Amino acid sequence: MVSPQTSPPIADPFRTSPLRTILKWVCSTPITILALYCVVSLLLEENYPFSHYPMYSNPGADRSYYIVADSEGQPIPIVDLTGITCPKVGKMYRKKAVELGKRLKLSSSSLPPEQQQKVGEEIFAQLRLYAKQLNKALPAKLVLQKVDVSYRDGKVSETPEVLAKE
Amino acid sequence: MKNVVKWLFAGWFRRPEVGPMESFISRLFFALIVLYTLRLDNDFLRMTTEPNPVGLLKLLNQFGFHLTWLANPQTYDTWRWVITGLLGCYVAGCALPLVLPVLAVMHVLPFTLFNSQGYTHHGNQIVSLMLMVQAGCVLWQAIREKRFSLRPPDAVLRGWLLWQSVTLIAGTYFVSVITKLIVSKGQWIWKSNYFALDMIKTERQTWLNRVDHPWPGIPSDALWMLDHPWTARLIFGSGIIMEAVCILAIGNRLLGLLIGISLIIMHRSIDALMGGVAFQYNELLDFTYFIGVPFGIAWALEKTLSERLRWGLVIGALAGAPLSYFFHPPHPSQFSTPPEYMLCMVNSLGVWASQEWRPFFAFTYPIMITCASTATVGVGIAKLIGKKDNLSIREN
Repeated sequence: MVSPQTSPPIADPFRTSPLRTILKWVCSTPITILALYCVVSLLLEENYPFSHYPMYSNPGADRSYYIVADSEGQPIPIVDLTGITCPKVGKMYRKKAVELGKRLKLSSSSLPPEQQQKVGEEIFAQLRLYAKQLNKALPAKLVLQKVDVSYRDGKVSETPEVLAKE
Repeated sequence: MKNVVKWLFAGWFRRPEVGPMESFISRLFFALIVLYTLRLDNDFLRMTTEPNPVGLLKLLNQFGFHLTWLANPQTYDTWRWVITGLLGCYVAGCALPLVLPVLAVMHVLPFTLFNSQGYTHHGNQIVSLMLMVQAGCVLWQAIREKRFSLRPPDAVLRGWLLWQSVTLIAGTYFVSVITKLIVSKGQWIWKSNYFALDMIKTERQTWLNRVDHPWPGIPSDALWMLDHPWTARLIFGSGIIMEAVCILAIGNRLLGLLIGISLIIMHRSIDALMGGVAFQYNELLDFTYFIGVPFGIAWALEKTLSERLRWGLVIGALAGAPLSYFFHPPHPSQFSTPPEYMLCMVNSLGVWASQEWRPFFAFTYPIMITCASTATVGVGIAKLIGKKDNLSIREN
C-alpha cells in the first residue's frame, strides 16, 4: 500500500499532452507569421501596406486598356502631360467604377452610360490637376476610351468604346 | 524519401545561425533598398489630394487627419533625411527596438498617400512590411526578455530577423498564389495562355504613354503564344509553381539560393515578355534574403581574413563611398552636393530594373576604386591595431 506522502504528484495533462508540443511549435515557428500574414492580406485586400496582389490573377480571352484622347479621338501623350501612365488611368477608372458600382449595387462593368460619364469626369479633373502641377496644358476637351482586346477563333480583335467625354 | 521530406521542411523548425558580419551586411543592403524606394520625389510632391484613401488613411480621415502635408517639398526632404539617419542607426544595429518601429511607420505613411491616389502600386508593400516584421521581431524579443537593448542584435535576434524576413518575402508570393487560385476559380494554369493578350495590352499602353513612335502591331511573341496554348501554359504556369514553392526557402539556405535564383529568372522573364513590368524591390530583396548575397560575402571574408581584418575591410570600404565624392568627375546634372551624390549612389540600384549597365559603370567605377583603396587602408589599420594589441599583451 502506498502512503499518501509517497504517492507521485498527478501529472499536469497540459504539460504532458501533444497539445503543448504543438502550441510550443506554433509560438516558435515563422509559419505562424506566414499563415497570419496570408489571412490578414486576403481579408484587407488593397489596404496599404497589405495587398492581396490581384494583378494577373484572372487571365482570360478578354483584356482591356484605356486611352485618353482629345476631342478628335487622337491619343494624347499622357505621361508627358500629366506624369500619369496609361495603366494608371485604367486603374483609376476601374477603382472608381468598382466603388460606384458597390454603392449602386451594380457590377463595375454594367454601369449605365451616365455613371461611366460621372467616373470619367472625376478622372478628367484629377488629370487636369496633375497637368497644372507640371505646368502643362491638356486639350480643351478630353475623351476617355476603353479598348477591349479579345482572342476568338484564332484572331485578335480590338474594340474601342467611349466611356466619357468633356 | 523520408529524409528528403524532413530536409525540405527542416527550416520551419530550426532558426538559422546568422553571424554578426552577415547580419550587418544584410542590414546595409536592406537600408539601401529602403532609401531607394524614397527616390520618387516628383511623384510624391504632386499628391496634394487623397481621392481614394486606403489603409491607415481611411482611419485617419475619419478623425479629420490627412497625409497630404507629406507632399510639401520641405517636409518630404526632412522626412527622407530623418529616415536616412534612422537607417544609419539600423545598419549599425543601434537601438533597434526604437529605430525599427519608427522606420516602419515613417515608410508606411508616405506610401499610404501614394496608394491613395486611385492607382495602386504593388511594389512598395514588401519593403514596408519587411520593416514592420523586423520591428515586430525586435519588440517581441524586448517583451519576452523584459529588456530594452540598445546594442547590436544578439545571435537569437539575428537568426529571427533573417528567418522572419525570408518568411515575409515568401508570404507575399504565397498570397499572390492564393489570390490567383481564388479569382480564377482554380483555373489559372489552364487559362494562363491568355497572358499573351496582356503582352498586347502592355505594348499598346507603352505606346499610349508618349505616342512618340508609329502604332505598334501585335507582338509576334504574343501571337505565337496564342497559337501554342500548351507551351504558353507551361511557361506561365511554371511561375505560379515557383511562387508556391518559395515557402520551402524558409530557414533553408540551399533552397533559398535555388528558389531565389529561379524567382529572379521569373521576374526577368516577365519583364522581358511584358515589356518593362519589373518588380525591382522583390528582386533586390530576393538577392539579399533568399539568394543570400550577404551570407556569401560574410562566408568568403570569414574564410580568408581574421575577424579584426574583416571588420577593417568592411568599415574601410564603407568609408570610401562618401570619400569618393572628392575623386569623382563632376556631373552637375546629376549632383552638386555630397548628400545629392550619396542619393545618386543609392539610386544607381535602379540599374537592375533598367539594365543600363554602361552609364552605371561610368558612374560607379570611381566609387569602386575609392572603396577598394579605403578597404585596403582599413585592413592595414586593423593589422596595425592588432600588432599594437599583441605587443601590449606581451608587455603585460
